[in-house]
Amino acid sequence: MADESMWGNLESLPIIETPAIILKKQASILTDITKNVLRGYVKIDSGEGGEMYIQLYILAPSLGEYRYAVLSVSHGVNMYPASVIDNIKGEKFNCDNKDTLLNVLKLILSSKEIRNIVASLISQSKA
Amino acid sequence: MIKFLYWNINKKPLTELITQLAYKHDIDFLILAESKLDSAHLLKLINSKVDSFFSEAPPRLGGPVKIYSRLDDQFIRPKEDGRIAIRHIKPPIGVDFILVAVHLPSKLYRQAGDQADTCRRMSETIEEIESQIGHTRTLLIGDMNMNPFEEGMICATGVHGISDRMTAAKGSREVEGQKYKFFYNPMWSYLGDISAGPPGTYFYNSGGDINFYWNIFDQVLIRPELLSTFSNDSIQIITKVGQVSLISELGRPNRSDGSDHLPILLSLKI
Repeated sequence: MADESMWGNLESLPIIETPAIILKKQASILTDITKNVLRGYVKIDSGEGGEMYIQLYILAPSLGEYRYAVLSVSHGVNMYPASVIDNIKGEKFNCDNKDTLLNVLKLILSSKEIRNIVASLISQSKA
Repeated sequence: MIKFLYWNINKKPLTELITQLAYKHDIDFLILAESKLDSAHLLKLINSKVDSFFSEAPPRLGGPVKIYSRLDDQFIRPKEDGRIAIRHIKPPIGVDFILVAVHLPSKLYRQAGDQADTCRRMSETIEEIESQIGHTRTLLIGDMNMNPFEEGMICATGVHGISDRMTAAKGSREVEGQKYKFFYNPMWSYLGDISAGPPGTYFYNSGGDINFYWNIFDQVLIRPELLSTFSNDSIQIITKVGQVSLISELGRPNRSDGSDHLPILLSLKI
């Protein structure tokens, strides 16, 4: 009895798309779209009590590795609710589920401010 | 001598006062938080008064903290922006140093634990940049939204800002086998009404059981390696600009003509 698995069937567990994975995908998309002129970069930090803190940066390698911290996502072990902080506007969003998180990320990443920052960094990187 | 002025202007249209301050105090670095000012207009006005040319420090992307300087772009290497703005300053004469300008989140939206976490992450970022550049001649300036005695500001894993210059000059201390670098935080001495100047930089009557009334949220902190360029009398909390008093008749920041924060002025012998 003690030798047999008491964990149930773990092989059929779904792979969950965590906020960190979502941000890494967006980071990778930025790198691809800008043809490596800019790089998306994700920094993950774990806090006390299982809290995860994930920061999304735009990195400009040809500007001495200059980086712009765009937003951060923090969440507990259960991932949701997650809070997103828009570093430019200083606004905080609470996301109860993945769909809300995706909508908030889209709102921030497609904003006029981020567009201007990306445009300016590409121009300066190519100068 | 390099002079810095930091002011959280609370989204107020204070272009005229800022221009007067830049002119009167011969500022080299003007750092603004909560600024909605049009940079082009502000710079036009400042440049019509001062001798040398001011511009927004590269990469001029905007953000919560705006840095303007009279140093040419070639002497300012941008390292990071976001809630924390970090620049590697390499003046034509004197030692290079790292300028970290911040506006940390308000207590209205964060609990003490969150603020301490923010400080821990900020410290890690600062150390990362220091290690990349290869020295710790770092000046940290900004609205911390915390007093010098609060956890995030004093904790070894946070800012680690010590009130005593001699202790800070030791460089670092070990906690549970881990080495933590000090900052010297002279702003401890500017809280309360015995110090020269106002009792703080920000007044808030919380009405709660614990009520500090005056706070010293706006601070400058210096790493030990940069301490030789700093003298204790080189900080000033500014209360008057020309004929305009930044303190009201009640003895609090004059929110009508100025901001809810008072500006701080600092000079380093670089």
